[in-house]
Amino acid sequence: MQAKTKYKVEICCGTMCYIMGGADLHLLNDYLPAALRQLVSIEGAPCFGNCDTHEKIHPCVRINGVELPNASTRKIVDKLIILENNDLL
Amino acid sequence: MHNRHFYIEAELCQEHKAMQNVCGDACESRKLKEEDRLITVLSDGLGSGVKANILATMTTSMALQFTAKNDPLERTSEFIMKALPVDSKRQISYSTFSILDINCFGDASLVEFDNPPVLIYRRGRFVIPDQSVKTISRSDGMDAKVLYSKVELKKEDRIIMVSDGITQSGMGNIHTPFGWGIDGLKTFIQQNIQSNPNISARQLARKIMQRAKTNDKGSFTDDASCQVIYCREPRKLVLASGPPYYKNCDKELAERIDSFQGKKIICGGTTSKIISRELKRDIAIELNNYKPDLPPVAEMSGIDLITEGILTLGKVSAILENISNNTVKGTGPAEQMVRMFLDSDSILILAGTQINNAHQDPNLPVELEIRRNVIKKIASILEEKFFKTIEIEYL
Repeated sequence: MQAKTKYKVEICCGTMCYIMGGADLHLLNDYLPAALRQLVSIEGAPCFGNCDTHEKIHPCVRINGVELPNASTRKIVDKLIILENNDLL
Repeated sequence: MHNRHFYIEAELCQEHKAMQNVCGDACESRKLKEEDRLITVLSDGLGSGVKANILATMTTSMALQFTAKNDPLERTSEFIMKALPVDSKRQISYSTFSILDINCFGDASLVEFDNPPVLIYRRGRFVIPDQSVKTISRSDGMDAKVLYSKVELKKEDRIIMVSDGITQSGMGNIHTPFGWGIDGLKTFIQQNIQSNPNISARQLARKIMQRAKTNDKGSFTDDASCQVIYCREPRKLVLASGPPYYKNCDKELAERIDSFQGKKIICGGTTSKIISRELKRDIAIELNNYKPDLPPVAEMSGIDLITEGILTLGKVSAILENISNNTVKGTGPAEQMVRMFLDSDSILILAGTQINNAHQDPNLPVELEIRRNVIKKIASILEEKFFKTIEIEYL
């Protein structure tokens, strides 16, 4: 088990999220800026159960418990940078 | 082949005489599913090469057909003797045979003619069944002695049928001037089963073969066949895929999986969540073993494999369709599941029939089939190609 990190990113591993682009998110660790890498833990999660809505929200990711719809590697990294910058202010 | 009392595993290992292209022995097994029967015939044709192969193949197919049609064994053996063509050089028609017929109660009938004796291994020793001898007069004037016996098989019994290429291997060596012999073979079998009591039919057949080949210094001096039949407790597996149609069945599903004796696979994100909720056990997903073609496997205590649903099932069905021998390469979730299927004898599939609405959108980039159809396809391949016993239950 990893030591508790500042940011916990949970990636939905359900079928819908996976085929709607979630597969690419599993490589998130490679795209994290070096400064953030130590602060972020990445985990897989069973389906969040959001699939059955009629809006396009896949793939789903949770950052510290807050859901981020239509996630992409870019979006997650940006979000993490914003969170970290806000924290530093 | 399924039996009310035990599962019967039948495996053959065969090699031809050095410098020959065809094997002069023939061995064939047939499973009659409706009658729950297994018939195995081993035959050794006169001489070696193509001619022997034809004699042996004729014998086995005749014996199989007659036995399957429930003709009396006496008539079968008489007919075979009379039907075989006569060798132009030696003026004899000749091929040996052993017929084994196991019915649904585990009763075996044996007919033996001139092959090395069929060995029945039970708990450390060899059972010798009561034999009756019948003499059949043949057209060439030589009378043939055919042995008939009946045996009631018990769980953990093994039946070993070999051709004389095995028992006569190593003939002329200092230690075995008259060949390995049936006693040498018996000791070898006993030693192997004692050191590995769960040795599969396939492994044992292969080991006997390798030893006989070593006796003959790496190249057989006669065609050699070894058929091993193993009556054992079926290896069971349960596959749960899909949420039950009615929500109140969730608990039942989880309990059935939990109390199942054997290997357990859960296939599907929602299904694994239901079971995790009902059994109050956490699911952990490992992302470090990343394979781009399928979502990763998850882990839960008490469950052997948890995978994603429809994409993995689709891949499993494709792999099963394409493999020819019983080996699968790779370590992905689908490959793991296929390997577990192949290592089991009886498979119970608990198929939930609730349809995932999210998968019914025709705009999705991937074709998502309905789970029920994929499961049906996998079941029929496992049944027809790999002779597994499959039971599907829709929830």
